Amino acid sequence: MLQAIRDKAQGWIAWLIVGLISVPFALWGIQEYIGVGVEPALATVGDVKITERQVDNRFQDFRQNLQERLGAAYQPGLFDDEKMKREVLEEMINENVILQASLGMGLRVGDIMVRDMILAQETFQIDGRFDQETYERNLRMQGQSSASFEERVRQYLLGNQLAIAVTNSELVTDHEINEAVRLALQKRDVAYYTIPAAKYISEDEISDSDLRAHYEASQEQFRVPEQVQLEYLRLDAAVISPLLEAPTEEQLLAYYETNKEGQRQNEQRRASHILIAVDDNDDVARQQIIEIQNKLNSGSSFAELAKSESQDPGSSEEGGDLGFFERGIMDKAFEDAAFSLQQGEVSGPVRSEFGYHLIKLTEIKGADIKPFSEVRDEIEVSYRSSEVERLFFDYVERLGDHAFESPDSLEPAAEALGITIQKTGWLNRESRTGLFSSTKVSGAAFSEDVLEQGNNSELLELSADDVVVLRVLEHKTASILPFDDVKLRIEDSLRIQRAEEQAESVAKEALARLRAGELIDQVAVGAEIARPGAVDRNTLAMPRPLLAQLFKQPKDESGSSFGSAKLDNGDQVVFELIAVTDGLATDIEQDQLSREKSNLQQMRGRDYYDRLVQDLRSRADVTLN
Amino acid sequence: MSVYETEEEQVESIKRWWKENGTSVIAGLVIGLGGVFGWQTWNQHTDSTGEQGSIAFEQMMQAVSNGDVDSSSKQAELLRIEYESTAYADIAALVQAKLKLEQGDSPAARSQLDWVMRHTKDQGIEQIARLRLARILLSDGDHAAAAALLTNIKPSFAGEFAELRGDIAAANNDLDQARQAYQEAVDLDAGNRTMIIIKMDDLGSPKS
Repeated sequence: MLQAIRDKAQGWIAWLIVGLISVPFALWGIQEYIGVGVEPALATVGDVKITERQVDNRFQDFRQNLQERLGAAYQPGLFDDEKMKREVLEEMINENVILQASLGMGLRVGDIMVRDMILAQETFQIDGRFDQETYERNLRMQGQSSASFEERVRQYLLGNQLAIAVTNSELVTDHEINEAVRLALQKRDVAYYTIPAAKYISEDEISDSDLRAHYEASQEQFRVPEQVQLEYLRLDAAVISPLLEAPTEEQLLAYYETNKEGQRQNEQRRASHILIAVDDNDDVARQQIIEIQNKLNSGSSFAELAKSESQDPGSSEEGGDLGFFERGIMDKAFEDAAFSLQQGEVSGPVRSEFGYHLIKLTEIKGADIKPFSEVRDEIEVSYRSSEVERLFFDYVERLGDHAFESPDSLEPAAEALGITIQKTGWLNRESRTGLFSSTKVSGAAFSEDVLEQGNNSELLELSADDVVVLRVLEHKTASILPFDDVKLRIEDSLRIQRAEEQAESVAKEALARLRAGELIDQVAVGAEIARPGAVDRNTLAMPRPLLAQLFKQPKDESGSSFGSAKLDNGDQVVFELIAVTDGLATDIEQDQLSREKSNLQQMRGRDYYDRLVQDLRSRADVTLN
Repeated sequence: MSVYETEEEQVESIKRWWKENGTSVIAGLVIGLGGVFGWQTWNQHTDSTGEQGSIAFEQMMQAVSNGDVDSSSKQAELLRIEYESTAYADIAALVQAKLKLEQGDSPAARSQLDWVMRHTKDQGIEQIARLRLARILLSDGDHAAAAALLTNIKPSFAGEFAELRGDIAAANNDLDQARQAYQEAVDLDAGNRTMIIIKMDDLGSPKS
């Protein structure tokens, strides 16, 4: 039996089978190398994955933008990072939903529109005209290829088409503009008087049982949240700078020497070259270039040879001149050669990706490094800031080590670093003052490790050069204030409450008499009656609650109608609505009318677009991980 | 299955198999490849149609924002007919409806919106056309026809429809209905909340 298998395994069919079997083994795990599905996705929209890195990038952009806009008012702890990241993710999901839906509807963006958009960007322009070099430099600085940038522009344009379509096609009917004007410009004729609650405050004793009943019923009001008092060590530039000794001249000079090479970065060199391109035969090209080199050595002019021999059509006419260039522009091998030559010197054959070059260095510009005496002050400033930075990182590291090694005290760290321990006042979870303006700090103070275990916190980075370690000094659990502490408060609030109730019932009585036909002057007895005449919705001179109630008051066809409102201070207002005059579209100027119209159109259009996005999203294939 | 004794027999049997099935294999390949190429061609066609449509769309929107009614109207009509297979046609008709209404030609505006409702393949765009059509009908005084359009409502647009139901009821002087509808619109988080509340307040408090 085994012999039979062995015999048959010699045939070509057997080899074919072995070949087929080997294919999956050969390709096994290849996705690890070509990078498919390596990064986990936070969300998937259709077949598009949104990775954590993409969300982070967008979030960083957003935060940077915010920082630039807010300037000094910006604080790193000002916003809840996690929450904002979720919002960024939501936004990215919606963008993808819109893009995919737009494509599904047959919407596209042609190359011409992408090009027009790029040509119109001011950042890519010099003197109002598009400049290819500026464009490429900008993209390089952002680390983008022009293909990926164009794709982004395309997506941006595509993602906006539906929004533009829906908002710009929004319409306003005659009925709508008439109603809007009628309501916005409506005026109501009113008379009113106030019943002050203070008038009904009684000095009578309130029984203990009443007070107790109120205390029991509204305990939430007397809750005191959990609180902590912290001690902390803080390192920032202000702590570090004084520790720095004044630099000696030797130190400054050494700093100057080590850093002056950095200035060479901006050096520009001008070179000419003769190129023999390498197509497929390297040897032939090398032979040729050596022959040219020999001619040069025997006294021929470089420029003449460049004209007759160089295979770089761009420069040969100019005698091989390439103009000025900095580091980072040319082919690496070419650059290294050009930057190692002395002025006027010609290189030996240099092999770049294009072929063989002979390079002649013709000019050096901008490389002049200023002498130490001239830049001494600048050097000191930059030396100091680099020293502060070095010292800061050194201190931060030591602070972290000490705080970690003796987790039950800040003393060792304070002693070792020579900085003082500071204390906070009482803070609760919701406090946002002082140190707690960063949610990182409040989070750490109430964390299990710090609050319950009593350990030092980790290093908390408030900003790039501001670091804190803290521990809980004292802790108060949440509690409800005892009855005796709040008895007086309850008594006061009960007195006020009863007075307001009294005022309200007086107002009710007055309303009943008014509705029965008595005049407001009779009912007001002694209170002053205000008659502001016809007022509109935005009259500032009248209390808000009264105005709100007045514009809710049903109109009475037969005559006045009456109502009341409670003001923020507890007073009651009784009013008579005498007449209502609606706003008329014909009464206002033409340009005001068209402004109103365009307001209505924009509001409605944006709303419809939001709904459309919501609808697309509800039907899209979105998975959150 | 039979067991082959020699290599010749194996080759023979493969030849026999090819004779029997060769045609189907080749047909299968042709159909498969044809499908792939056909699909690619179709995609290219959709892309180029869309790209041309997008240029016409851009020109139309430019004309609209320049207030050039004649030119935008012409562009819209062209877009609607030439790019019927894409949503550009729907968008063109929506724009056309707005332009017609602004020219005072409300029947033409209505027929454009009616066309969008029937033509569009996207339910959200359908809802937008439906809302706009009902709003024009209300403004034209045809309350019954407007009310008749308040069906087939998708959840994302429910608040906007509730507000419109309130507007129609208010126009019919049916205050209780209107109040109820406006309240529903506010609860459903319709846009223009402030405006809805003003409209609701203007109806007065319900009689207790």
